[in-house]
Amino acid sequence: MNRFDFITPFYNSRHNRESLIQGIDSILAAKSLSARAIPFSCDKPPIEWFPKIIGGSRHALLINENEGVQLFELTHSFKDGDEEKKESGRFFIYEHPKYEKVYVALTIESSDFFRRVLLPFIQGLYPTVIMTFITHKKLRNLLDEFQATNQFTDLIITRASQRLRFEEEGKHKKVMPIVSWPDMDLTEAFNWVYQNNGWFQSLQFEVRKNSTRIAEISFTRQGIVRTNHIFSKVFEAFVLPVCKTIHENIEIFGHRSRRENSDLHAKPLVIDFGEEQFSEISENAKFIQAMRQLKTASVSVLHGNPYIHMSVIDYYDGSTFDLWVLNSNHLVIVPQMKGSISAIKRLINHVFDTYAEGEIKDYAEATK
Amino acid sequence: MSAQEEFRDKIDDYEQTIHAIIGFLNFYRYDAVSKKMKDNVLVFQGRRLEPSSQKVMDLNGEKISHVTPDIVAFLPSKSGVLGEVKKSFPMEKERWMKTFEQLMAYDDDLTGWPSDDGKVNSHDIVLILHQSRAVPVRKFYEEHKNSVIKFTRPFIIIEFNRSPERRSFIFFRTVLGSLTENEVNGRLENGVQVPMEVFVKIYSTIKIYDSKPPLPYLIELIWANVVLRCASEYPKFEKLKKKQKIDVVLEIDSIVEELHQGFSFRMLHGDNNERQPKIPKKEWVLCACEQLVKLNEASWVDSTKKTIKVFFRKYDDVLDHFIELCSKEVENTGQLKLFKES
Repeated sequence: MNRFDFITPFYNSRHNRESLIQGIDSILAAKSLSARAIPFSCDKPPIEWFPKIIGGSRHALLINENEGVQLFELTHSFKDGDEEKKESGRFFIYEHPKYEKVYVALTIESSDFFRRVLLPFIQGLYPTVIMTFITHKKLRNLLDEFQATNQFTDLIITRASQRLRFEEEGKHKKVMPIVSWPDMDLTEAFNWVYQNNGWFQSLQFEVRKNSTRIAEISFTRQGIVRTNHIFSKVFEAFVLPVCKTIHENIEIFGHRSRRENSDLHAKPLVIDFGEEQFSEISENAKFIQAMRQLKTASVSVLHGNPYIHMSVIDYYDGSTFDLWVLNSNHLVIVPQMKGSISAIKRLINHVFDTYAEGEIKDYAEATK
Repeated sequence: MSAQEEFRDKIDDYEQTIHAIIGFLNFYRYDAVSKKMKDNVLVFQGRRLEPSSQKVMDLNGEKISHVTPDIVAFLPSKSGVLGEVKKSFPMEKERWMKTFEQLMAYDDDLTGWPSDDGKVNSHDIVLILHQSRAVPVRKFYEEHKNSVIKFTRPFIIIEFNRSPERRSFIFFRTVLGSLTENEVNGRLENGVQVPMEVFVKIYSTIKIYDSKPPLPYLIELIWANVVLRCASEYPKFEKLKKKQKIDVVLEIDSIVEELHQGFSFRMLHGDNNERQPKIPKKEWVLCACEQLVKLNEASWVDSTKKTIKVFFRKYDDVLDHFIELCSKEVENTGQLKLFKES
């Protein structure tokens, strides 16, 4: 017996933003599929340059476009022994209606396509394309709001990958393997990670209303979302807030290069840890050690005690920074002649991942 | 102490001196009431001032064409402040006289102030020293004043130190004499803790003053701010592996200009820069480039040494890399003594 083909008409429709989200919602309701979303930012609209990317093993072909939505076919060519192979799939680019330079790559293709083709394609475009990072606090807030808004009775964490920062002096604990968190509720899980000075790299959780299982969702620190149901609710609760975070990143990280100012003055940023983070002198060594783990960078220490002054070069695009710790609460990041958005984001992401999370502020605001 | 440690100490001294210059000048620039910088106070680092006819010869009979104090402050009352900042002071007392001779040359009706006639009505002469040396130097001055050391204008010694507390301060206090400017004098008599965080924007943009920086520090500045900028314009920069290099060709003059624009006291001088030396000096940059050539990190394009080809590589710690190489160079050539005296 022929099953009804939902997929072909879905791809053949020229979606606008609204119909795309509704369409994915309907597809998930009818088929055993998952939808995945990667929110990201880039200066130029993907439609203008994705199809022109040459070199590399992944090529995007524009299939159709309509009101802020484009459909692409992405092909990955690779060798399996002596055999030339190809794998293809489709994805949409959703242009955020409000935030210029913010986009979402959406796909309902298989996990293999996402993992081996689409995600490496997007990640490989760094630093032209940047994603974001969701702090532990923000992640918790998003989950709480999602649960409250939709009146779900439980969000049960089924799998999680967490990273812990410093365990003991001089030792940095590496990534822990994916751990099952059977029947652990959010509060318990978040408290455990917080108390162990860590953060979730990814969370997979079951959404329940009373005893009914509504959906299974996963959400990563980079803001990548997967769900097998209730896509429009997930889009509203997770994808759009991540887009907002990306937009805020662009706003606060943008135009920080000294070269952009006629008198070459500096425009520092501050990470406000909100507590006596550097009250002990031993914190200096921990911070320096954490910074030295920054990859594709030069990290030099000009002064390490009692205050910290470091010089950092980002080898992706040649951005440079001075870092200062001059009181117990603040890390001051001073972008030098070039301080690109992607390099600032990477630097702060690294501080949050390997040392501690804080609130990002403009220097003038933080030192009022 | 190893050569590496010596270099690190010298770099720290160099930075502390810059921080002390900025901190002290700010006592005159900053208006605590409006919490803004005063527009009518002009400050300079290394400004060229000409001696009067009475002081065109120094104590050794050599002609003085000009003096370049570390600190020059010009106040609305047409008065001023001239000073020297010494983070490190030689152990040998016989060498202390050299600093006093330099300061005595400032005790003069100098020309070149930013007034209509290039003069001031009066000015203070200030010696700013690290706390570890302030008292012995004061005693030295008191032993020799009115004999070999003579000042007709107010002479003041101020000590400074970096606080070891978790909130970082630079502490300033008068140990001898009184500053003419009452408000500043009142504060410094009792000692003032200046929070370093207030100056973080300036500290990050002023990295060189009119004293030759330690070689690895200057090389790092050139590398991270000039060589890197050019290298990053090459398409292969992003994917450049650690063992690969990019040949970057640079004019010496353009290196001087970029560092001058980006990292000197230039921005504090505003439009009054006609008497400012171009810092870094070209000979310092040449010296740093010579060192890069010696270390096989660069080669001269031709014998004129106007252009250099630098072999850019992605080092994990640029400063440490050059401290290590310069230290080896010092140790291999047996220049440790020479280096210590530099």
